[in-house]
Amino acid sequence: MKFYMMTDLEGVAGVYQWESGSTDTSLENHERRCRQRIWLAEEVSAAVDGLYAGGATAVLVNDGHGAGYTIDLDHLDPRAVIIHGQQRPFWLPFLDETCAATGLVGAHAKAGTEGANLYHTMSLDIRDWQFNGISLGEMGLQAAIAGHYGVPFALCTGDAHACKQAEDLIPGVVTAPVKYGTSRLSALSCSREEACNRIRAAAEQAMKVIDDIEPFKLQSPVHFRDERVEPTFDEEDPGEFTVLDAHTREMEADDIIELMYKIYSYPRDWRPLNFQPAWLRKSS
Amino acid sequence: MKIYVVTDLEGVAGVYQWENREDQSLENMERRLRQRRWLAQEVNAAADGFFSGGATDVWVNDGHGPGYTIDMSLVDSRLRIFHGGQRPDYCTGLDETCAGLASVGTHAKAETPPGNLYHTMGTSIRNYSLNGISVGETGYQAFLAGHFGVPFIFCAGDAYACREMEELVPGCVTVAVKEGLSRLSAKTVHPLKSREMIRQGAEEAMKRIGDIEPLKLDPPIVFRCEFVEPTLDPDNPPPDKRVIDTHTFEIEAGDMVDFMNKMYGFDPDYTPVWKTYRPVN
Ligand SMILES: [Zn+2]
Ligand SMILES: [Zn+2]
Repeated sequence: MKFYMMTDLEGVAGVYQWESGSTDTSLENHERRCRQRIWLAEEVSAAVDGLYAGGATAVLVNDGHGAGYTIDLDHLDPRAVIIHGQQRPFWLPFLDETCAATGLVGAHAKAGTEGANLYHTMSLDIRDWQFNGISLGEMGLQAAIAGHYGVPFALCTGDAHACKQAEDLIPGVVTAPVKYGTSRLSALSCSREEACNRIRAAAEQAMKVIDDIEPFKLQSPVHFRDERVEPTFDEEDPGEFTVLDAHTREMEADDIIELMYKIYSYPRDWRPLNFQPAWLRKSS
Repeated sequence: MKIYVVTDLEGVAGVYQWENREDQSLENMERRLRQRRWLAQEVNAAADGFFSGGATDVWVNDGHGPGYTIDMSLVDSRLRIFHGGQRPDYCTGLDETCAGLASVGTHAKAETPPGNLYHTMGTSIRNYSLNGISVGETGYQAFLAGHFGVPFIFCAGDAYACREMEELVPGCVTVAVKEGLSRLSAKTVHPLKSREMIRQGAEEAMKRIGDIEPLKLDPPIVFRCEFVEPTLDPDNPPPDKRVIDTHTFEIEAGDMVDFMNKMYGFDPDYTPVWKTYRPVN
């Protein structure tokens, strides 16, 4: 039973502001970032522990925030296998039909969710992303990719606004709100200990309800609408999109995977290596 | 039974990006210190496995960057470490007294996408070959060991590096602690897990020593280096080098040691002090 866990930083208890990586080189900011990476690792570890307690046999953790290297590995449960780094061959590599379920730790609400802490979709310039007319944030997009492979989205931890969005989209999903966004830059947060306790319990529960959750699958073809805050698109140079106006473009693809390849121009020839050292191969 | 270990940083579990030795930010410093610790801990794990498998000595060549990357404070007390720059030869102490050569923190050779941080020596090199056989850094060391009759027995690092070494040296034991997804991303096991896997693999490698052929080349040795960019002036060939074109040079040598001396200008008469001096008391 392999569980695929996406992670983000904005929905971690104790984090309330945007991570300022390159612009603020102060000691204060450095210390805060180090601390928040540990908190993220603790929440991921709590989830890993709960998932194992609930019957998972493998947990793949996608270090998804920012530069893709935010989880403090020295504070992470060693049972986790980690995907990290940049220029990845796909947003959620290895999320496929071999996974029993997927979930998200450190979730923030989607773009435009007034009152939510640090709400956004992918980046701050996106006003809204819609798929077949359904507005989806990062959580919803992950659920749709998993749904393509028949994998249910079973666990969401983070801002209560994000948890509510998960429940609205996916009946039966197990959530663990670890903070309650009160504005984009403020939140009522659980203590670190309570946050981890909630996450551990929710993760264990999620493993028990996997079979009751319908995978979230988008009908084919998938129609994508990309709305931006600022004028961004050039009608003269639409690329593979249909540019409606400077703020809006659309695209259609056979399915969500094909759509992701088109949006991000991922290398289509990438495949996992599946290398097994000779001394560990079972002699046939 | 002495095992000689060459280490690198790029193939250590938890490391995914190039080490930046210029960036003086706190963030970068903190990351580098942490990665040096992870390297030391993988080295310790390998050594521990070698000792359990029967090794009596483990000598470690701190091979990454300026040659001072392993966190010495954490090194297992049974080990000896070669470190520093301007070294007198390529793998000081690697000779016929060694029972096996091993590699920890290994990355794949140049032009191995999507291996994590693949390169050969530097990113300016497209390929190294020895008598027509393409080699990365680790293959290059394996041929040097072979000159002394020493087999390459163990490789820990990126799955692409492990595959490369298994193809070059049938029978060697490899431990893939990560798999490159692109040059700058990887799927990795946790550093604690990598140590466990490395320890096991290293112990297993000790059992295979007698079964693994040392890599040998028929003399003369023809080494070929191809650069990515035009780099060489055919009218001004460097000493001992044959410039084929602006991208390519060759070195012809009697054996691997002679080749290394020609390649790097080492003194052929160099003898390490531990071979000649013993304290009187
Ligand atoms: Zn984020
Ligand atoms: Zn290196």
